[in-house]
Formats: sequence, C-alpha cells, structure tokens
Amino acid sequence: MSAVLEKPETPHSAEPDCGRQLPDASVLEDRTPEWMRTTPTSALFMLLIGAVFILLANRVPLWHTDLWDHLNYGQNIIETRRISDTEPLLHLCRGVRMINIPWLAQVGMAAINNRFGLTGLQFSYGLLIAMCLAVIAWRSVRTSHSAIGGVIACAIFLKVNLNQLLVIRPQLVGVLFYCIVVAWIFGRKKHSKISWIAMPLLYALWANVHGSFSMGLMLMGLAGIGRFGDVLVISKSLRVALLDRELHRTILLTQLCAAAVLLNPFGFAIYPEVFNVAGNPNIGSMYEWDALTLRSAQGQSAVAAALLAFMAIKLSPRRMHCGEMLAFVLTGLLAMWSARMLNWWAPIAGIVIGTHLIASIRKTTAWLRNPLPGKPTGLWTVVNLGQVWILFALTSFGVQMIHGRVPKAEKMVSSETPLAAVAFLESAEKLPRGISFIPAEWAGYVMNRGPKSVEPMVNLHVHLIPEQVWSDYIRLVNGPSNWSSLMDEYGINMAVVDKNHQPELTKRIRESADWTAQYEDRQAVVYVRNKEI
Amino acid sequence: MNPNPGSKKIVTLRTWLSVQLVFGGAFAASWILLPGTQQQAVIAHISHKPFQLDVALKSEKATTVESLYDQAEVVSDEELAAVLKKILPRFSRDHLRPNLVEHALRTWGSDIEFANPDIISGPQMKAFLTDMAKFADSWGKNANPLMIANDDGIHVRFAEDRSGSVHHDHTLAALTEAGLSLDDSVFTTAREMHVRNIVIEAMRDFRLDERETEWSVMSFALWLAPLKTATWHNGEGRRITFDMLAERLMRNHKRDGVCLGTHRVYSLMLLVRLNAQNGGQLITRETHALVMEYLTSVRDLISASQRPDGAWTSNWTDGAGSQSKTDPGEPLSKRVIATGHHLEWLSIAPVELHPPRELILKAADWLIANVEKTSQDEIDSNYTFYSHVGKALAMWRHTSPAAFWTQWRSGHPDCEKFETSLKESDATQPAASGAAH
Repeated sequence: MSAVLEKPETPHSAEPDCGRQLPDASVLEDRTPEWMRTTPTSALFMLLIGAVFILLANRVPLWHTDLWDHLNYGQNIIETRRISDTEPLLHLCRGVRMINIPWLAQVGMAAINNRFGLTGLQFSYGLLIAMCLAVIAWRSVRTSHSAIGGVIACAIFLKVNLNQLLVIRPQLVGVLFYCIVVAWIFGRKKHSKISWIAMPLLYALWANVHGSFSMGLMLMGLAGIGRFGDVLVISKSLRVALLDRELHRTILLTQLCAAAVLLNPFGFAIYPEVFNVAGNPNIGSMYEWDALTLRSAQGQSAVAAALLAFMAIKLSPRRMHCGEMLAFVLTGLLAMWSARMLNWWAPIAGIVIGTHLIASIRKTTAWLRNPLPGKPTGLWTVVNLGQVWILFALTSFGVQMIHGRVPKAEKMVSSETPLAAVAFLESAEKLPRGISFIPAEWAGYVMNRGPKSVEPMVNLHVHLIPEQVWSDYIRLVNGPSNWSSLMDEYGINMAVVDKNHQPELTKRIRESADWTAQYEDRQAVVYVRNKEI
Repeated sequence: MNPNPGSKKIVTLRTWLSVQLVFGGAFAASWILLPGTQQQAVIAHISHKPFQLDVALKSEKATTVESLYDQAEVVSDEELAAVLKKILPRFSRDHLRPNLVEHALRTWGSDIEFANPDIISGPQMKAFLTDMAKFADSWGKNANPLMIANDDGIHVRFAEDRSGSVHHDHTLAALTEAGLSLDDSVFTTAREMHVRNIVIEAMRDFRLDERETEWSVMSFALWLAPLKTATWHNGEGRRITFDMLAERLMRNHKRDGVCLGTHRVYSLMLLVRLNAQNGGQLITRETHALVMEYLTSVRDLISASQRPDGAWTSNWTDGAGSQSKTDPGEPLSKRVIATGHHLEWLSIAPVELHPPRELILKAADWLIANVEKTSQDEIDSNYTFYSHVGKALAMWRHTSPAAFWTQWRSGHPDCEKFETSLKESDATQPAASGAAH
C-alpha cells in the first residue's frame, strides 16, 4: 500500500501573494450603458479643450465694454419683469424703438451675475467657447476620421476667431448654435428624427438669444442650394435634381426652423431687425464692424487660413460638396466685408481645413491611412468625468463654489475698466444732475457699478442711439474746438474722460476755466462744470 | 450622394402641405399678433419709407393761446400804432425771402388787406408761401421751390439758400399762428396738396436731437393739443411725447437756441398754457413742474439782468453779472431781439412768472422809444426782429396787430401812407436782415 501524502496546506499568509496574477480586467464585462461609453479620443479632446477652457475661464478678463450693457439690459428686464419696446436705460434714447433680440441671454447673464457674481460669468464664457470647440472637434473627427483633423479644426477656429471671442456677449451663444448648424451641414445624416425636433427647438431658443439665427438659416438655405447643385451635376437632369428627397427635406426643415424663430416676444419684427442693426449708420464708426484688413492680426490669420484651406482642398482626394463650398466662400466674403463676420467663417474654415488637410496628407502618410477607431468604454467615461471635475475645480468659479473664496473684482476685469473712477463716483456726496459725458466703452460699467443718478450720454448699443447724438458723441471724443458748445447742447455737467484714448478732450477741458477736475488717476479724469446748466 | 427621387422615403404631398401650413400659419399669426406700431415699423423698414404718422389730424384749425393782459400802461394805442406802422410788410416782390414773409404772416395774419399796394396783404403772403407758382414769380422758374411734395407729405426747404426758409418748421409755425386750416390748399410744383401734408411731414421728419426744435414744438402743440394727443411716432418710428419735447427745450444752456435762447422760453410757456387749456393732458405733472422751475429761473435771470434803460442784452442768461460781461460793441439789434422776445412770452405768462412790473414797463418803453428813433430803413433791414416787437406790444393789449390795425386805420385813414414809396432798390434791404433769426 502506498500512501501519498498530500502536501500540507500552507498557512494563510497575512501578506498578499505578490507572485499571483490579478484577474484580467480586459475580460471583465463593461456594464456601463452603451450611451454612456466614451472613446479615448474624447478623453484627449477633453484634455485639450479643457486646457483652453481653463485658460479662458481663469485668465481672460471680463472685458470693460458691452458686457456691462448687456448685464444692465438683463437686470432691467429682471427688475421690471417686462421687455421694454423702447430703449429703457439711456435718457437720450427715450422713445427709440428697441427690438431686444438677445433679451434671454441678457437675462441669463444678469441672473448668473446676481447669483454667482463675476466668476459665474467667466465660467460661462469659457464653457461656451469650449462647447464650440467640442462641436467643431466632433464634426471634424467624424468627417476626417482623425483626431488630428479635429485638433487642426479647433486650432484654426481659435486662431482666426480669437479677437471676436474676447468679449462675453450674447453672440457667444449664437456662435455655439451656429457651430451646431455648421456641424449639421457637414454631416451626412442631415434628416434624422432628432434633427426634425432639435433643429426647430434650437432656432426657437436662438431667436431669443442672438440675431445670428439668420446666419444659421442662411447656412441651411445654402445646404439646400448645394444639394440641388450636387444632384444636378451628377445626374445632369433638372427633374432629378428638383425631385431629390434630401433637397425637399432640407427645404422643409429650413421652413420649420424659420417658423420656430417667430417664437420670440417680438414675433415677425425680429426678421427686419437683423438687417436694421447691420445697416444702422452708427455702426460705421465701430472699428470691429470694419472690413477685414491684412494689417490686423485677425486679417493675417484669416488669409493664412484661407490659403491653407485652398491648398488642402486642392490636394485633398475628398470631394467638397457644393453646399460646403458655398458656405465657405459666402461667409468668407462676409468676413471680408466686416471683420465681425469672422465668427461665421471661422467654424467652417476650421472644419474644411481639418478635414481636407488630413485627407491630403493621408495619401502619403501610412500611419494616417487606416486609423484605428478607439473603442468606447466606460473606463474612458470615468476618465472624462474625472477630467470634468478637475477642470471645474481649477476654475475661479469652482474655487468659489467649493471653497467659498471669491476673487477680487479687479483681478477679474480688464485693466481698462474704470474701477477707481467709478469708486470715486460712488463715494461722491453730490454729483451734478443731467447727462454726463462718459466714454461709450465705460458707460455700461458705470451704470452697473456706479451711482444710479449718473446718466451716460451713450452706451455701446450704438444702433439704438439717435444718429445726431452718436455723431456729436464721436465729435466730442476727438476733442474738437467746439467741444464746449457740444457739452452745452446736451446740458452736460460732468465728464468722465479717458486720458489715454481721449487726450485732446482731456487737454481742452483741463484748459477751460468753466470746468474743474474733481478726480484723476492713471486712466481717467472726472471733470465737473463749475456752474451747472 | 444618393440622388434617388424614387425612394420610398420620398416626401409626400401631405407632408409638404402640412409644413407649408405650419410655415405660412406661423408667419400669418405672428404678423397679426404684432402691435400696429410694430407692423408700421416693419412695413417702413421693408419698403424703405418713413414710419407712417399714427395721429389722425382732425381739428380744422390749430388752437391759439391768447394774451393774458390788456395794459395801456405798457403800451398806449398811439404808441402801438406807431410801432405797427413801422413793421407793415412793405417788401419788394422780387426775390422775396420766405423768412421775411413768415415773420410778417405770423404778425399780421393771413386775412388782413392793406390799402397801400406796396404793403403785402395777408392773402398775398399766404399765397407766396403756399403756391409755388407765386413763389416762382418772385424767384424765377429755375429756383428750387419752397415746398416739395413727396408721397403724402410736403417738405419745406430750409437752411439751404436765400430762397428757403431759415429754420426747421418755421414756415409751419408761421402758417399755424396765422390761422390757416389743415384743408387750405398748398400748390406744389407737382400737385395740389394741403397744409395737412406739411404738418404730417413735419411730424415725421422731426428729430428730437436736431439743433432747432422751438418751432416744431410750438406747431405740434398748437395742432395736437385740441386732439388731446400727447404722443406719436416720427418717421424713424421713435415715440415722441410732449414731455420729451419740453425736456429737449430745457436740456441745453439757456443762452443757446435761436434768438438768444428766447424762442424756447416762448415755446415752453406755450406748452404750459396749452396744457392748462386742455385739462393737463399734454405733459405730465413732473414735466410741468420742471418747466415751471425753468421759467422761474428765466424770470429771475431777466429780473437781475435788465439794463437801467430797460433793455435786455444778448447775455441776459448771465443774470446779475450780465452788465459787466456785455460786449460794449454789441449791436443794438441784439437788444431789440432779447427785449422784444422776452416781452412776447411774458404776455402769455401768468403773473408769478413775471419780473417786477416796473421792469416790464421799462422794457416796453425802451422798445417803443427804440422803434420811434430807428429809421424805417434800419427797421426794414431788421424786420424779423422788429416784427416780434410789434406782436409783443399788441399782445400786451390783448389784441393782434391785424385786429388793432384794422380798427386803428378806420379812424386814421392815412396811416398806411408813407413818405417814400417802395423802390426796387429796397429789395436788398430786407433780404439782408434776420440772418441769424
């Protein structure tokens, strides 16, 4: 008989067995719902766009110009609980008809400011631009099948449009919605069920936040025309082109979106108002509405982008759809007409360059030829959520929400914001009555943070300012020889003058025996008339 | 690319019609729900035409504001007659300046007839301003007409050349004060229109921030007060109210404004009177209080600034310091302007807005003496200024120059005879006058 002794059981060690292999996680079943899974590419973009977001939400100061005007209009709507059909803030604009298209954005901005303060505005600003980048990246990656294409598209958009993105204004929401429509026009499945619901809803919201809905409608129209052109060229049959179902659907969807725009407090009047603003004679004196010029950095960026785009399109094996080409060219021409229109060209330029550049390089670059799509997993979702939290926590707004630390206002606003001058006005026991000369760029801030009794001559909503008033204001800014009679004409008893930008006016008032400087710092002088009118 | 019209997923006719129904219905409903003024604004914008006037002008004639006083101590019948004789409108018909006729018309009215053919009668003055054939008789066929017709309004040419009116809406104010009705004909070079069309155009092309608003405010108040209408929209679609007009008149320095800042005082006083005459519906209480405060300050300034001889100088707004600051070389005509215009608004002002009575008497005495000693040629050269003197003094007798003169000449049949007849060479004299008025 033989007996085989079993190996005695080794006693359980308190120490883990380092030599033992962990279970293979790769064989674990990903129980994350399908719709929640994200790709490694998304994590990459979350990181890149997040970096831009942090930079914008923490580093870009709140601009001293029309942001404050929008806050003032929004606050007025909140306080009065009505949207005035005439200009409600400026004495010299009483009775002037006002179709306040961005009323909802203004209310939102004022509400954020009231609830969270300036950090909330900065956070929203960064978030909106990050969302624009996300939409552009998403469309570019989908179209080019390359993360690099997405990165290029985002970079082009940012570089070309950076000047236009510096100010927090309702237009930013418009740019985001526009990017969505651009993504739609460059997509292949334009008429999914979700499009029929989401697009009209988008336009209904858009019409209440900014007048750029018209640009969106224009794009959709170009998509329809482009589709007609594409089919006509391929089929060489007018009948086939006219009976094309995608053309029909684009027309119908555009019509529904145009009808959805009417869901605003001003109804039909919103349509002519869009052209009214652009055609207002006062706009001519606003440099940001000037034609794009090569002398400016944004002009140089735009030309560089255009050249890159033409090169990429030429070398690319991809065919460019007629609608895409029309959108690219027409918005480009608009941008040449007015630099502010770069907002509507930059997203298209970004996607066109990102897509076609990758396609042209792919011909000669092996590793770009068969891109392996990253598999969507729950793990990347966790990574993305972690990034979101980190990004949030790194913002001033995040710090305020988590730690309760509110940064000082002077660290958040632009250096040209007249903080000290407004503090002086606030502390003054008695201020002269009547209209005050205040630079249009400062008027919004003064009205928002200064004493309520101060009534600026104008603000930056120049399309609402009576032509004569604006013309006189522009003359005053330049310090003409008849500055005194102009001041008399408007009964101006107080002038807050920007020393750096209005040196001639500063000099002339200083030399006058009728006025006395009551306050002066490095950027502003507050003059008061010795004998009030 | 899938150009496949034969697909099963083709858009059905029902879908097409449904979307068209939604699309058309949405736009139709949106248009219907738009307030009337917004619809007007949209139409104006799309058609590139001015906003249509949203006031129905009904009253045939404008209302009037009567003088509150009949005081022979201020001016006797004889003194008034002597002054009025010197401001009878004896103008050469050649290249007759509208500004002269406007002043003469508001002073003498549109009905008066004179025995002396050198003197332009009321109907002749009215015809000169409202019939462009008559205007062309004076200025030649190649001259630009004074009245220019557009779709439904008449634009009065001003501030362009000598054949135009000098100030915006001055012609309208003169026609209004002269008692023309809305339905009186105006013969433009294009077609027959009416005074109504001048009023419509004036209300449309009025801009709150234009330099001279005095006559516009006066005209609008005289036409709209009887309608109890205190608000309308101008051609830009801007809502205009009499509160805004009053504030506009008070906005700038008192020394600014036409005729040394005195016309705006008259217009403000007129607003207050019309407001009272029409149940306080023209301006709000707050604005009324502001206007009264303004007029009170004017009263105080003229109380302190009158010269010992009774005249007010061009710098009356300097108050007590005015005499030391007066330009020693100041033309006498400036004092005629200031003193005549102040007496004019004071004739429609309540006593609480008057300076001490002796100042009014002194001012009237100075004016009467000045007119007496000033040559006819000099007065003709400064007709526009002196016409206010005549009008002001007549108002202090609670009458009008026309009514007084008509009565006066019945007892003085030779009162329209002059030692010298009107010569063609005189034509340039009145034409040189009133450049700044």
